[in-house]
Amino acid sequence: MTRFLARRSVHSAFALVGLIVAVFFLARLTGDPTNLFLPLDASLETRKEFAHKHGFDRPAIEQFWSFVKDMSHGDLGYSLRKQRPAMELVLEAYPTTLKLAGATMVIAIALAIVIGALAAYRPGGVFDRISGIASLAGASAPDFWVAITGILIFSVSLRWLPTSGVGGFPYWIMPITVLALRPFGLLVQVVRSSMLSALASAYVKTARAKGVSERTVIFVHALRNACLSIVTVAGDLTVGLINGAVIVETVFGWPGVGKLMIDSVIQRDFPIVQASIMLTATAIFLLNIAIDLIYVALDPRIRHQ
Amino acid sequence: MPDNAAPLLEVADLKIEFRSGRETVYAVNGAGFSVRPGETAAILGESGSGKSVTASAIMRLLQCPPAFIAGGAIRFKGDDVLAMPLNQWRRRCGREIAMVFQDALAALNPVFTVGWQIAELFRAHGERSGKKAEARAVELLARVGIPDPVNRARDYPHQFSGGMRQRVMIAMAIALGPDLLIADEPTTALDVTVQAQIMDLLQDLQKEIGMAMILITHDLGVVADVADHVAVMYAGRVVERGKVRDVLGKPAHPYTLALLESVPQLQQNSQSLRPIVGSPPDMAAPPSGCAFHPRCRFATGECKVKLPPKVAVAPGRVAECHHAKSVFNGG
Repeated sequence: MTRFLARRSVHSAFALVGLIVAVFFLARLTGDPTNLFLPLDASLETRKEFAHKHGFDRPAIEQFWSFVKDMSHGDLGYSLRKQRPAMELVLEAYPTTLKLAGATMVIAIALAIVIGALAAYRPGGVFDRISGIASLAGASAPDFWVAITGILIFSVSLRWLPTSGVGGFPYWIMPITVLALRPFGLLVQVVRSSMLSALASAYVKTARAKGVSERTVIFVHALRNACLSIVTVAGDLTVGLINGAVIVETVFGWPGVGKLMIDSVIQRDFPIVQASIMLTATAIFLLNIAIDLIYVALDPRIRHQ
Repeated sequence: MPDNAAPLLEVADLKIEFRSGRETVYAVNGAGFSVRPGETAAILGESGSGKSVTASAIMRLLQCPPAFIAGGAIRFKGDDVLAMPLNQWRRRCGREIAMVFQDALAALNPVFTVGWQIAELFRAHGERSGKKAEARAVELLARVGIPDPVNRARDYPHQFSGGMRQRVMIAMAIALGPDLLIADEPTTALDVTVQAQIMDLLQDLQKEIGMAMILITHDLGVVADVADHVAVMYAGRVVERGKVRDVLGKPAHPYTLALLESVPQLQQNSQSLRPIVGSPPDMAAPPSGCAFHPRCRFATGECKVKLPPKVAVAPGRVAECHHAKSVFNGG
């Protein structure tokens, strides 16, 4: 187990280094930030001074070495626009994203398990058909459209919910609902199909022959086995969310890392781009390790390999 | 066992179909047999003859749809099993009637420990203390001959050998001392040497508990060794039944006769085995009349058109064949 974790960490470290290098140079391919930051009528001297101050007048490779040197001291640079350490800004935004992602996935998984399991219990039944249509619609609805339509209906027309921002419970309803639609739709289908095969299995027959109650058969014997494929897909979907939900965060003005990232890319605020990608990448590696550990905990056959 | 005791289980004229969009498979077409308390009844037949489906129907384990019970009755201790509410029947499963499946690796849940799965029987049938249930599971493992039961109870099914897994299945089935055990090809997936051990274990436990057993098998040798009565199934019907000694000694149905002739025997020095010609019928379109007629060397014109009657060739001996008497006397 420790060896497995060590191996995964080494792999992750290599991938992280590659990612940082790629992001650093790709960001600089988008152009010099100087022209974006200074007003149109700024003099040539001011421009030169700005470029020199931030090192943009030097070759990219030199900029990279000084970036690596600073990073080794834990310094990821200052935001060009906000005049604050980049990592500090990213760390401020990240919990907001994590909370949104966490709430979304918990709700999506819980609903999908109940609905998918019930659909699988009577395949072809009325409930199965309705949930099939609903999950397909959820999985394929474009989130930007749902988000904007939601704002039009519930905020503008009905005035039930705030249009954007963070705050109390009402602020969470629309972002979570919009974000949860796709994971929910996909997961209902995964739960349904894995429950179908679990319920048709020989061990479910055994459990019934033992006189175990139908509820235990479904939610203990079958679901525990179906969990393995549910975890795979749910893990993947969670990875997508902890990246920052760029579209939903932007539409709802949600101050998460997705919005921060997209704003800083548009403004060529390189230190923030770099810091936020480093943090989200690390979070994704950690999440993947957590998923592997959940796998091991769920399936004794993996444990004993 | 007295022959006149009231039957523990009675299957009468059972008909089971599997219906899918286009076709209907007539898996069981009027099977009937009965089992008295304490006796061992074998159901003998080749794959596809409907014996396992019949067993699943008794336990009410068939997925309906696609399965569909088209007729007949199953009575257990006089109660109509098929008419009973399912949850009422489930409560009797495990306690009064239990089942051992063919492939123990598939039939045991891969993600729970063996001890947990055995203990579940006690929990499902009223044991509130988890500790007590676990302790009784360990006792059962010892009873079915699993060494080091305390530690093995914490292992998962994939950590056991085939024979040991089947012992675990048996431990689960006998946990509550059922009146009837249905063993569906319990040794088919095992090595020959292990097969004998498992059959011995089943027989020992049967004596100890005093339970009746339905042994579903395609192995004539096992039937001859273990069973009191046998029902020979072909194409979803019980074509012949009677005491094992009588049926195997003097068959009255051409199919039973053909089965016996196709088995190698040590004491006879006949050089060649006589295989049964043809192949089992397609149950989506079963043959007219007697389903065995295309493969039967006794077949006449009558067999092609008329379903054979139940012919009582001797006391306690019934065969479904137009020519049962001549097979019985001449075979």
